[in-house]
Amino acid sequence: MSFQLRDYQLQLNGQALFQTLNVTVEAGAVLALTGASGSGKSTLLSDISGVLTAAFTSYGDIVLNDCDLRSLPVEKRNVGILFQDDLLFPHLNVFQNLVFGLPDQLNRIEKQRRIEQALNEAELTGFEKRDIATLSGGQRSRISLLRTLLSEPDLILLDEPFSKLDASLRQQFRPWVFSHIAEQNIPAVLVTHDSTDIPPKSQTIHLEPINHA
Amino acid sequence: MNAAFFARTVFLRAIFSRAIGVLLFGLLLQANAADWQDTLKEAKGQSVYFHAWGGDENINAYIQWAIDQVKEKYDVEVKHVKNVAPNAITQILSEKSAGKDSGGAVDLMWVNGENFANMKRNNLLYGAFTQDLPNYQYVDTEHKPTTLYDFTVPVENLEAPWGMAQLVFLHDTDVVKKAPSSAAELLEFAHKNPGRFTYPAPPAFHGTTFIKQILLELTDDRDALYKPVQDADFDKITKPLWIYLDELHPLMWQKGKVFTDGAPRMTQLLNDGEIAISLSFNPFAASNAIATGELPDTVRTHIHASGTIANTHFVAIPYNSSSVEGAMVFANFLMSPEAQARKANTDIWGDPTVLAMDKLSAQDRARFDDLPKGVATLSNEELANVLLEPHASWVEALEAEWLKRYGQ
Amino acid sequence: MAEALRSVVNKKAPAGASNPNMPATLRTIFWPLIPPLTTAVFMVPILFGLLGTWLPAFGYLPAIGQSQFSLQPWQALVHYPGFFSALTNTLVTGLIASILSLMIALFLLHGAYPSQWFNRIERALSPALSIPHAAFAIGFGFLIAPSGWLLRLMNGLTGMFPAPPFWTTFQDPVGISLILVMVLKETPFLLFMALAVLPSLKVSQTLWLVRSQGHGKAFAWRYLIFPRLYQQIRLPFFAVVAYSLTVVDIAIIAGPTTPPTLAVLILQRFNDPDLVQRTVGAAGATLLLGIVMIVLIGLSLLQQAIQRWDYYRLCHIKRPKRHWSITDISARVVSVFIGTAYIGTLTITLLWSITKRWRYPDILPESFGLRAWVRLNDRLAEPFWCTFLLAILSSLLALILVILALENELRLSRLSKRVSLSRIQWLVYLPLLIPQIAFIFGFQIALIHFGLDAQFITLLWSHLVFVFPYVFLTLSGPYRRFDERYSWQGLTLIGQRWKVFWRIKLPMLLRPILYTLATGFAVSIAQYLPTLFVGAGKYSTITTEAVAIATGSDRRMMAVIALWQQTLPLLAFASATIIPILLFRHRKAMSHQ
Repeated sequence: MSFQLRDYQLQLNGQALFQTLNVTVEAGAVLALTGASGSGKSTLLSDISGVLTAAFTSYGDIVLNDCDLRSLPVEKRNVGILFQDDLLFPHLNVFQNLVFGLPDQLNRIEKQRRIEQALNEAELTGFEKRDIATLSGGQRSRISLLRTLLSEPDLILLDEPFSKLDASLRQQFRPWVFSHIAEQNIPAVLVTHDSTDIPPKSQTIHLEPINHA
Repeated sequence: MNAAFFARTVFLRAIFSRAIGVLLFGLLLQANAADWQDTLKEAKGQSVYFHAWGGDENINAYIQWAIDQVKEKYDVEVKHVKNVAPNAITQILSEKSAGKDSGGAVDLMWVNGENFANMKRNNLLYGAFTQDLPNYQYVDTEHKPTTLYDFTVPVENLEAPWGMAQLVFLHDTDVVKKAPSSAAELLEFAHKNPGRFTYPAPPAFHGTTFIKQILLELTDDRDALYKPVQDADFDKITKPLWIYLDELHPLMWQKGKVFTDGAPRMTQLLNDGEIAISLSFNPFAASNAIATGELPDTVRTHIHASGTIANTHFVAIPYNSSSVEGAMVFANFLMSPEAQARKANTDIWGDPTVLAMDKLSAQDRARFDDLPKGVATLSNEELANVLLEPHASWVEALEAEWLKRYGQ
Repeated sequence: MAEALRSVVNKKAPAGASNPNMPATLRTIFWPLIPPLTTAVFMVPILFGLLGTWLPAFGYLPAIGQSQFSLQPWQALVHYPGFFSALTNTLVTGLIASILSLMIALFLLHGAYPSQWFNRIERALSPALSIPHAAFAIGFGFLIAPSGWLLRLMNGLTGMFPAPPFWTTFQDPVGISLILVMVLKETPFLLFMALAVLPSLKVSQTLWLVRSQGHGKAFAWRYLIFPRLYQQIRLPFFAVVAYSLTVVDIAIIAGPTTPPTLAVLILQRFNDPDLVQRTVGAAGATLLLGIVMIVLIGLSLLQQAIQRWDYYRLCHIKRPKRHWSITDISARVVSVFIGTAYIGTLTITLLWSITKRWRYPDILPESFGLRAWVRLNDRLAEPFWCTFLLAILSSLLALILVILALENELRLSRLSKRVSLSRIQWLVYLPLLIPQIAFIFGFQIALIHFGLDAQFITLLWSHLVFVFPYVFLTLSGPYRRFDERYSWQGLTLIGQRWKVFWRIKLPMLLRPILYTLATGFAVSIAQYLPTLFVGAGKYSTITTEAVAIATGSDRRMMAVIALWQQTLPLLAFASATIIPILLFRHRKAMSHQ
């Protein structure tokens, strides 16, 4: 399993936003993208995910497991995403939120089993019926990641996932996220402007704005 | 051709045609009966949209009763559209504008006076039909000339008489010890009790009738009012009216600066004690309102000694009615002794009949004999004192002049 | 081969937001149809209606034998007795009422927002808005007329007025009582519209910031918040101006009589037995439209002038530091006054509905009875059902159209097509800015011409014309504020846009959606002219019944039907509040939005 960008370029109004990218991320590895705000980090993620707004145009290949993602719509790409906000659905309880990620064809008992197991691992045993609004920030973040991971993505995108957590929570949550990603053995792309978010030994690319003088 | 001659010819011609009508009536009776059977057959299952003012719950209930009756008796489905005549005319007119000359939305409508005159002039009426209605023979056309001349406009069987109306005044005996019996006494009353009388602003129908009444009482050339206004010296004839109103207005409710929009609003003011004399076009209005609690039982009816304006209200079929036969069946039923007697009952509506008692069978006549009259209603003798409506053309001229003087 | 071609294309062509999943027909036919379809829903009736009014205004009305174009109707209009006074009445009452409503709404915000007190006002807004104008005007008349409740109370206390005094407190020639009724009805509407945009203006933060710099609260409101607020509620305000200048029903009930306002005069022309007067009415209706347009342009120019003046003052004046606590108190007083007027009106309507006899100077009815309730109940079933069907269907249809239009907006912005929100806003407001009286007659003629009159479906359409704008205005705010990342998140989890829409977006927006439906429901119930004319009288609703009864003299019946007329919208608003509470009783985040 691997994720690749080949001769990738992102343009706004015909002008490239940053340098042409050629990069490969292996399963279990993390690619960190850093850069000033407005450098196009998050836009790059939306392109990989398949929801790029038309103001931007991109060139080059986005390849996941030897498959060209460009030919697939969002829902077929199997790319999970985690935002800085947990974006848990407020009208659903914990179980209903998590079940969203599970494939439809699983039967009810299997779904229950997997969710129970996931909650156990996250030290949230018995939280199935809880209202999202009653959870702490840390708990919500964990459930949000669980939801993404339960959908068994082939690639996970992390859009500054820690930026809204306080320092101590960040300390705990960071290793927890990366260990779970490693466990699933999938490539991950992390966008951040905080270098401490980047796990050791990961590839880092700094997006350099191109000066169109 | 001079105007008097013209009027006389019109009148004679009408009488003549009626005479022929009566003559032919006997001959055609049997043929008519057969035709009527055809009409009844055609009418079966038809829907009739009857456009009639819906502001009075007694009247609405009465119409609903009539609707139930014709449904049961003739299988005609009538729907009461609570709509005033001008709106119904707008509807017909819009249909005519759009070239919809059949299948119109209005099948039958409650109408009289100027609205009828205008519909007639603009060919918005179906045509002569009342002569074909079996119950038309009972109408008191001899003693109730307004069943033939609607605001002096010849009816020519274009609309079916439904009920009689007469301008009456209502007064609260708590305040008014002696009811004014003339325009002059009314003015006197106003002098003694400033602020306690008003009348609706023309062109509201009741208001226009009131100024016509006053004009009829004050003018010394009453004949001129029964001819087209174009032939009269308007300024000279109406001068006494304006002098009268100039004096009356400052003594009226709200110093004559605010007017009501119709008699219904005046009923409320009478109940509120804001005014002490009100008016109505229904001789039974006071008894009715007392019965429902709308007015206190100290209210009584009076009219002026010179008589008051009376007219007839009708139902008419528009030219593009979708259910002509059904409309005829309903119009015929509304003229039936049964329906007319019920209508004249003050406990139900209290609208005087258009029928002649002497034309009815003893059995039908009995229906009218035991009707309750109500405490505040005048006797038939008192009410017999009737003035005819001036020529329809006076309405517009009087309204325009009134508006010019008091409406700006 | 095709596969290879695609990868080549992909390499060369920009990817953009092409959505390969969506069937081509949906993308190329369905969505592009949405804007013209929604626009047509309300523009077609207006265009046909205006044409049908303009032609008679210039003498063309073949139905009465007038097929020569001429200026005759205009001359007749100008020479109609009382025309100029009616015009003055219209301008005076319309302008004063609308501007006063705006000032009072702003004053209440200045004095009481944000506060506990204001939350109370906010909760009272929907019930206040759901009361039909005409019902309110009649009830208010019961209150302030010379024989009204206030004077009966005064007489009860002092014994000074054994008979009703000769004061002119209602339907006065200047139009003060009409202005009062309009102000009482329009101020809550403007407050309601302001409340929708206030969160985006960050009032608390602005006040905090400005006061920390040593400036007064009045300064902050006057120079920093009001200008931006006005910019955002300008169109609702314009709708109020247009309404106040052209309203018919409450002008008949509470307005001056001799002459009345121009709109009433026009309606009288339309209703005159002399059919030629209809062309005069049409000319008047056209003039009224012109007046509205001129006034709105004038207001826009005034706004620019004030902005320039503000800018000058900001640079040159000393900023007032005092905090006027008097405004806080008087804002409370004013809101209490408005609230009292509503409660008084409702109470007296309730009292009349159960009255048998009630005369001046009795403070309470002499005898009670339920006759009016019983009589009306016997025959309200059909109008009730018709009202309900029209209201529910028109608001549902409007909701679907509005959601489609808003989704299309999102789709376009994903495609980076320029979406001019202000142009959409203007377009949607058009039916509210054009006087009903200026196009409803013409629309009726057009419908008859195409054989579409007097049918339920076209009646529904005519309601939709007026329901759509309110539904759009109520929903567009919350809908546009929806965080689309939820949809994106949902898409990565379950795919299929429509599933995401049903299972995530719709439930999350349930509260504003239900509220919107209730608003549409109330708007539909209030329609009188469209129901009467487009329905050709064949469909009676609670409102047509109410108007019919209001032409009579029986106040008890009027009170009962007015109460029914208020009950339906109130029930709708109540359900819009209660359903989400019940549905989301275990979801704290959904209980306040």
